[in-house]
Amino acid sequence: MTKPRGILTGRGFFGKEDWIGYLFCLPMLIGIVVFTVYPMIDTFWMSLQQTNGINGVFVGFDNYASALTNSDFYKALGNTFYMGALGVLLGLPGSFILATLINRATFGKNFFKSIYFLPNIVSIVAISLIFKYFFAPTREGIINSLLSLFGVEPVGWLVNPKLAGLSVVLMGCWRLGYDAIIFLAGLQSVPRELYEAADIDGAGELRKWWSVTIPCMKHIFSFMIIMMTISQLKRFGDVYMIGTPTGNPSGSLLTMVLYIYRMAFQGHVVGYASAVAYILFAIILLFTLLNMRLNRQKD
Amino acid sequence: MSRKSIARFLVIALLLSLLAGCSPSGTTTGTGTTSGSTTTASTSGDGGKQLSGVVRVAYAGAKADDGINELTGEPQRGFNTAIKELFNTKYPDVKVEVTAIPWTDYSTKLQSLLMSKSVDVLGSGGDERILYNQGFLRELDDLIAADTEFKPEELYAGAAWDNCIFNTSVDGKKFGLPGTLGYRLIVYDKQLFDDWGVEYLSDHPTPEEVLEKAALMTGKNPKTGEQNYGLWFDGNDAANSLYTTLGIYYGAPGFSGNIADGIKSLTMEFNTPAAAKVFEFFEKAVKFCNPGIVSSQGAENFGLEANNTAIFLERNPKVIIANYQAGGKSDTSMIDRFVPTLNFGPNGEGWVAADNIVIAKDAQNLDASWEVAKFLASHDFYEYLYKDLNWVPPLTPDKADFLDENDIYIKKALEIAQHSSVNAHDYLPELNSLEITPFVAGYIAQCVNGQNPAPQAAADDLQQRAAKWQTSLK
Repeated sequence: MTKPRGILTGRGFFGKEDWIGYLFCLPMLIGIVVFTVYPMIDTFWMSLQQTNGINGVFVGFDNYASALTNSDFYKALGNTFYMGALGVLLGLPGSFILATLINRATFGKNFFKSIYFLPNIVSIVAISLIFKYFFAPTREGIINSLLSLFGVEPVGWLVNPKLAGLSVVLMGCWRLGYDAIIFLAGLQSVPRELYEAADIDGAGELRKWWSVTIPCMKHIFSFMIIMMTISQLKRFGDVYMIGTPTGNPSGSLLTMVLYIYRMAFQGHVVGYASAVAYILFAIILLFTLLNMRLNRQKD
Repeated sequence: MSRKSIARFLVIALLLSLLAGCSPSGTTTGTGTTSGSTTTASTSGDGGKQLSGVVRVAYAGAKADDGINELTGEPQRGFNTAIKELFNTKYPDVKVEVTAIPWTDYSTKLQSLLMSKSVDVLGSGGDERILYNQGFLRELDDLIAADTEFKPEELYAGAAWDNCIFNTSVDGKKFGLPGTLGYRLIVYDKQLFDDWGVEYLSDHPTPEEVLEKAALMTGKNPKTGEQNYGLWFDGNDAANSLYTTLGIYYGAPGFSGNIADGIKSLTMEFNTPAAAKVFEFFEKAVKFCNPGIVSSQGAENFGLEANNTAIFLERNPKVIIANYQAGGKSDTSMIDRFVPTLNFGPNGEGWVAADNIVIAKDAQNLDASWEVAKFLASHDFYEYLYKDLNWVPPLTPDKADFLDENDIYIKKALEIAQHSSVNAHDYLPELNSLEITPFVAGYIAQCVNGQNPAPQAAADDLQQRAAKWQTSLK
């Protein structure tokens, strides 16, 4: 057996030829330190100050305490969880079903893959503007115009605070294609022998999907839940475009990141915004660890 | 090739690529050469004053290069061309480097340039007070006093100069020259008034007159049978402008006291009976509006044949003039149909935004920077901004001699600007962004959905928020 090299051999980090490898990693390491590690440390330092980003006074953990007693913070947190949960609940099964349908298509598989992926290459700004007209609150809105054919009165999709969050999540479903592609890759790795065995046992299509496909996709589901949760908790572009920094109507579209944006870039309370950013970071970390632990227990 | 040679080659290649990556993307010595959004307008020759050197300009919302006007489809000169044609003929040895700053997060971008001392003169897009308070900008009083040819009070409209909050510190020091003005008017559609048989708005309407007439024109149009709305205003933007304008009309400035004594010394007055009247106006007004005002929708046909709203508040009528220009300036039918009036203030004033030209505290070449700043706030440059970019010149009405004779909107905007003055809300931009804007926008949405609290209760709530914000300041 070859002896492990490097620090374990007592030769330190740099073996005879290791420096070349480290040198090649250096640009990336510098990038990570300058653009990720340093901003994270600096953000934490700012979160301990009352600062506009330029001049500051050290206030300890006052910003954290202030955030945790602020009603707007909890409103943003509540909206984020509500929209996040809805987004995962609709997006996860939606994209999986879509992937299954594409996987079973006997022809045009690549065509459907391209079509459903297409929305992901369109800017969220453009999508939001288009969907604003879909969701217009009068009969001129496309959805209300269709509903009026069935005698339904115009619905204030983006005007009513109770519906605005749901409308934005529905809009997000237009971009299921990306998640569907990941599921599709997983579906194609399910061993065919299992389906053949199920056929021999007389299982129908639905039964095979439920008892073979889904269990074999467990790790993909686990990965997707984590990624979707993180993505949902960081929601910003669509709510900014539709609700403006106010998160209108009545703050129902005020998500955590939008709240951070408003505080930092409009109110110039950068210290407070940094504290909220760290709280969001802690929440996302907690959710990710929880997800991973739950999935490990299932294994 | 040995392993050692391969490793040596790869290391050299890596270092070269790093060097290439770190080097500037290119040095420009010609005119109008662009690299990203940074462009250079340089020139050489003799003549003009003995000024020379480089002046670095960063301008929010600028168009650095020649292009096409997105509204009219006409060719449009960029800042570089304008500077070359209008400034460098007088100062040929001053090289002006223009960086066009996109509107998205422009304030942060300008702040970064100032922190890195990479800019001398800025078109600051409305956030100059914040930059000044952060200590980045130079006061201009000494430069103005020393420049005997410069007569700002004769040149600039009242809202742009006399105690203008956007370029004057709380203790009266000037730190900016006017760059351009905002453009918000009351505009009504004569055709809809005719259809409904309603008397036209007066030239200086009151909120009560507007509400009364809007009520008469909401419903099915008696001639066309189409749904008409009496009124429109932007529910998201209302807090920035309409709330302030109504505050001027009802006598609700928001606070009292001397801002120079510090924000903590002010008395917040967001819940006076006069302040509650502003909320009362919103409560009544939304009944005559397209519910789309909550998401800034419902005014898509403004200025067009298909328009279905009678009165617009705080509206920018740029699109009407752009369509007129795009049509070869021959068809004035929409200009005749959509009529602007003065705003609600006692003298016709309203909330008027003014973007300013400011000079960095660490400006490298002060004499040349001052000349460039003055040029960017001059009659000639305003003429370029108006003709090529449709920007509003912050001039007194008599000095704006280059306006299109059919542009009744800019003329009205300058009339309003001439009468307008400092507004209290503008002294507290952070409070405006953090509390007033979201609160008022939220209240309007509540009114549209019939879930709003009583006006006085709303005013009390805002007062509490303002007081809490004030207390939180260290």
